[in-house]
Amino acid sequence: MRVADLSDAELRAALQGDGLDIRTGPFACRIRSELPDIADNIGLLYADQPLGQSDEFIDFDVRIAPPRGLRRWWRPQVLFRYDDWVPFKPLPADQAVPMLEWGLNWCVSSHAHQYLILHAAVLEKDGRALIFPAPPGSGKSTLCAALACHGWRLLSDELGLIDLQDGHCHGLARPVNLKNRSIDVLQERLPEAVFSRPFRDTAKGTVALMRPPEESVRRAAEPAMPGWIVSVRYEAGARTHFKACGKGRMFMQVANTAFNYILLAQRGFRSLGQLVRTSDCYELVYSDLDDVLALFDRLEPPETREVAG
Amino acid sequence: MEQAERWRIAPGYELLWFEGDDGQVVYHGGSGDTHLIDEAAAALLHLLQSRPQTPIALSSSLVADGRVAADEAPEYTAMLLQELARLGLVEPCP
Repeated sequence: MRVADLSDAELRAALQGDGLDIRTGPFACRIRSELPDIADNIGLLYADQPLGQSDEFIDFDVRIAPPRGLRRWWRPQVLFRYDDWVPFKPLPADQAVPMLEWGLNWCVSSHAHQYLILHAAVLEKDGRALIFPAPPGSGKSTLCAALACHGWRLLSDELGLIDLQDGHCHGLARPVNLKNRSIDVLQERLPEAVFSRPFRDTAKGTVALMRPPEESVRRAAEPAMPGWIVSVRYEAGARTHFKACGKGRMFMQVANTAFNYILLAQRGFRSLGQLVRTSDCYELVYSDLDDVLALFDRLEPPETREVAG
Repeated sequence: MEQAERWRIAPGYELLWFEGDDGQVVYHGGSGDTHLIDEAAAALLHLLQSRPQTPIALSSSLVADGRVAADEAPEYTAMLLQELARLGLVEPCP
């Protein structure tokens, strides 16, 4: 069963009661909230996500709820709770939906150390993963959303999960986080895609979420072999610039943006070395999305190298 | 720097290597730090991984490998050792 198979009343009852169990890639998440905004947006953005099985282990049990006291009523706020622990300061109630997304990202990046966790957007085509490791503001989510609606399968727009055992990339197929100007750009380009309303004045500016394509969600459990690592940077007015990047430099860049590379120590080094060794590495500067989509249409798969090592 | 002084890899932790096409990446298990270093610095570390050596011996090996000209080798070797010591990868033998 998928979230969309629940009636609106069933969805709200689950969120307000024992929790809505959904599967995002390798993780089972239990979400609870009495906030109508959370119910509306889960119905909208997670419609294709499979519901968890009743006997399934829940990896992340989270709740979005108002704090106690006057803040329920005066300039209302919301808290993100993880197993009844509050890891963040409250945010304005209007930001409950992005807070849930950021909180779920935090759950994965802080706990799922069976993976090397990259701060990266990851897509897949023909079994090979295309990885965009980049800091916020680089334009990777914009590019990721455009490619996800252009024949590439979305694995994740924020978290690249690299299996420490076999080096494969795993996906979450959760909503894509878009910020500021890219929201309008993508809404205009992708009339068939489903977007949340904009959430204004967040720490990241105005953000909106795009529902992951149905096929990406349906195939979320399918891992991909590493293919390409592309360091991406949006630069207004720039001509598309795409060139090979040294693997030593790429290693350092990915290490610096990974969430748990230092924590994993030698295992992290070996896993990252395997990832970079088996991928073709490039640098991309862009401003023209059409140009870049055509470029990725022509991208040759890397020669097959042994992945497990 | 005393030319007779021997240098060694900072003991107690292994070095892990990743060979890039633009340099080598080395991981130091003690500090948990990762560094991208050039081929000459990597060659020097590999020499010291085999055994502690003096700057003169290291300099001679770098010249023999064609990595540096003979007249620049002593100064270049001293600079590499200082830089690698700053990164915590090598140290003078006690």
